[in-house]
Amino acid sequence: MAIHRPCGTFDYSYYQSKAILRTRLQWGLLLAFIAFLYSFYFWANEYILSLLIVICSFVIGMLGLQIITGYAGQISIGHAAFLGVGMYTVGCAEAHLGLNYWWTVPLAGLVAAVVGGVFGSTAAKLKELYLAFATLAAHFIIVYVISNWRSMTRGTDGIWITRPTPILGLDFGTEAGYYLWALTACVLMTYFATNLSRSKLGRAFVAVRDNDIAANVMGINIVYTKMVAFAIGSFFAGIAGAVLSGYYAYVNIEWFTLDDSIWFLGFLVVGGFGSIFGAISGAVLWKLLDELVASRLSEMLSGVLGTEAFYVSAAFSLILYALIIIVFLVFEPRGIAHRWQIIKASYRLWPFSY
Amino acid sequence: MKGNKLLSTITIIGIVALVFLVAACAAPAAPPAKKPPVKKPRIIIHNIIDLTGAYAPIAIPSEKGGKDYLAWIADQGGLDVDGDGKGDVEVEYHWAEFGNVDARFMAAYKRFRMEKPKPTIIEMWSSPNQEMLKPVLEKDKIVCYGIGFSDPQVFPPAWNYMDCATYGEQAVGAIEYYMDHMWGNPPFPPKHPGPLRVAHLTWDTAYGRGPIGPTKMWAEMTGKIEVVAERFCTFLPTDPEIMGFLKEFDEMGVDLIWSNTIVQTPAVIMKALHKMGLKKKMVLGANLWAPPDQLLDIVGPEAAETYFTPQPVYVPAAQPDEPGVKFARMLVEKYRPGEAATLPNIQYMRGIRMKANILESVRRALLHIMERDGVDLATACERITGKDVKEHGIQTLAGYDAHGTTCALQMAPRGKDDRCLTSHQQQVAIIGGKVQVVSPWYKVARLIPPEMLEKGYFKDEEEAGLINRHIIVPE
Repeated sequence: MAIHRPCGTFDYSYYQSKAILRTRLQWGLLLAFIAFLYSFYFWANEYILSLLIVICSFVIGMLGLQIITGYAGQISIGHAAFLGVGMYTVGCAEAHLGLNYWWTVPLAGLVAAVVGGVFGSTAAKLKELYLAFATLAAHFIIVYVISNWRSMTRGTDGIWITRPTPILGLDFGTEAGYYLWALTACVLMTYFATNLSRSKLGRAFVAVRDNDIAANVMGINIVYTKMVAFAIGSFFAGIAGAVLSGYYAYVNIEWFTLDDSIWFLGFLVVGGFGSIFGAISGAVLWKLLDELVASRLSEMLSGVLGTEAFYVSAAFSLILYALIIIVFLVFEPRGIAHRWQIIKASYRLWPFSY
Repeated sequence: MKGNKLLSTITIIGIVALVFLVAACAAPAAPPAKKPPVKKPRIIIHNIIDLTGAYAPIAIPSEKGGKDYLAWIADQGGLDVDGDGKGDVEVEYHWAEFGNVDARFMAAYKRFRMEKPKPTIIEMWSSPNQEMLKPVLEKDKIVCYGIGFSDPQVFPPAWNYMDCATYGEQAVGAIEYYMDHMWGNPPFPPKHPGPLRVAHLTWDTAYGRGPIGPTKMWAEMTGKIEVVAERFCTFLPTDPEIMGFLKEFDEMGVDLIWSNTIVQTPAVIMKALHKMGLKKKMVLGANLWAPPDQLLDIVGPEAAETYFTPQPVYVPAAQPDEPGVKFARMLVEKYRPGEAATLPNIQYMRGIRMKANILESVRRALLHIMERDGVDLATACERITGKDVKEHGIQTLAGYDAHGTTCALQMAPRGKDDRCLTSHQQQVAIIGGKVQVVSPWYKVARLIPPEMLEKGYFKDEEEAGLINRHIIVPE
């Protein structure tokens, strides 16, 4: 898909050429959008904020998977486990080291990055389906270690976490306060991911994804690049886990299942591989569908269909879920991100068809 | 291009629809502008249930019982608060399905929490999510009516109440009863000298591991049993997976396998025991969420033979003349006659019991408010809080038999810090291809960690001599 620039916008320097946002209108729209997101702090209720906090966490997690799978082309079906590593790092660091939540957040990212890097090293020798199985093994190994290292993790009982301490008088014990932190983390990580994708390393990821032999010929260290992709992607997952665990103030092994890893991949397909917008839209759609279709629509349908059908309607949502992924795979395998590009192009070219 | 246009249009429509849905959900749950005049005061009860996740097989029949009971209450004109046989209060039921997904559980709780009036009592499914909410519920002063907890959740006591005994107490009670009264009597395996050798074959979750610590500590304290193995299987195990464990157990000389799972796992274990010809050597016992009637339907009479579980309700297949079973049958005939061949079953009975316990707690709290404040019922319905339901409702349920679905005089809680609503259970086994009750109602062991006593909890029970065993639940 060709990128259609706004009419009359030209680049006069490399600086302009490299810019993500080229026009004042784009800057204005972005700032307005961010301001709109922050405005939820003032007017949204607990339910909406709760939903948004979870969405922010999963956007960060999905960005991580986008780096591993979308950019570097390394399939990972153990991504939820890396999220779990982040969550448990927060819990263990607080329980055993007495660290304040704010110190545990970067630690969660780093520990997840190390674990991800270790498992990612298998990508040096493995590709495609074989790599998928290796990351599947990562999921089971991580879950096994957490379940059985009881002295550290309290096994399957879970760990209580203290909500983040206030900063500048902001109480993160409330939904609104916590949303500010979750959104800020999400914005920062999105910024980081966007710039990473345009850096030398990001282009190396893409080169490895498109043709690793050709990339190697061009001087890219394949093993290093794949490992770093896994490490950075897992770092994102760790941060996502830290954000989520601070909100729940509790972490349990049952919360990052293989199902979650599969849904991560499924909704990355729906969002679109190789695009930051794809990762964001995939995560947002996943969690919105989760809440609005799986939970709310089930309840509404049971109201219409009567008592007898309440459990059928609940199951119906799962079918709808799967259908959405199938429809995207068949009709728009490049995901929402690509569709968005087409919509933008149509808008810019209108009223001309070509 | 045509296809692209069509897809673009669909995408835009989809996004707009989603935005509308978000906006609809963002709106506070306010009553409609033109609401017809309400004749009766109203109370609301809530449920966050898993109908599509891991707990679905047990949640669905339970919910059928609960919903039918609520329909019956509505047909009576509402909840009878003053006991004059006429309905006084309209009961509104708000439920959310969370599919065993933590984020959806939290969102459902927040949505309920925002309602005006604030919820007083919420039925909840799944151990980890209830544990997550423990401090939140305490802060919000909302009672959780939980379907079951892992042991750490019960100590120290909070606002989470449990429909049954702890998984440790259930297991110790059932194993002890088996050892004293069933072991050695045909069709159960012959007795041998020395302690009963127990192996845990369960899920590797907080729920699955629930009874392991308590049974091990109890074994060490009493020497009556020996816990020789703990093994973990997948949520939906296969025959080869289970057969591997059973072969190992056979070599260890295991007498009893205990499984804290739901019915599918014991079904596979029983089939494997039958196939391998190990029924004469070892039996399988499981917690109350793996009811024998459901297992019998799944595996058939031969494979199901000797399987047993403890239950806190009367068993329709074995105790058809009990008033609670007759009541349940009446509900089935009235509200789902098409399912009369399979219902009521144990889960259906538990569904009735849960909703009855919740409504009885609310009813008692309303009576207390009317007496305390000297107000009428409508005002009491407006004033009721979670604290009222906790202190003057659910905490006073001892002796309530929930329409005869459970035995009277044996209901918990036993003291001000007790959070378990079952103190007695009966042993239910499959013998001769039928579901049979093989014990009277017996009291479960009371397993309180000593540090809880040191912290000053459970003093009333200790002074009344109700605590018969103290154990340490290891972390």
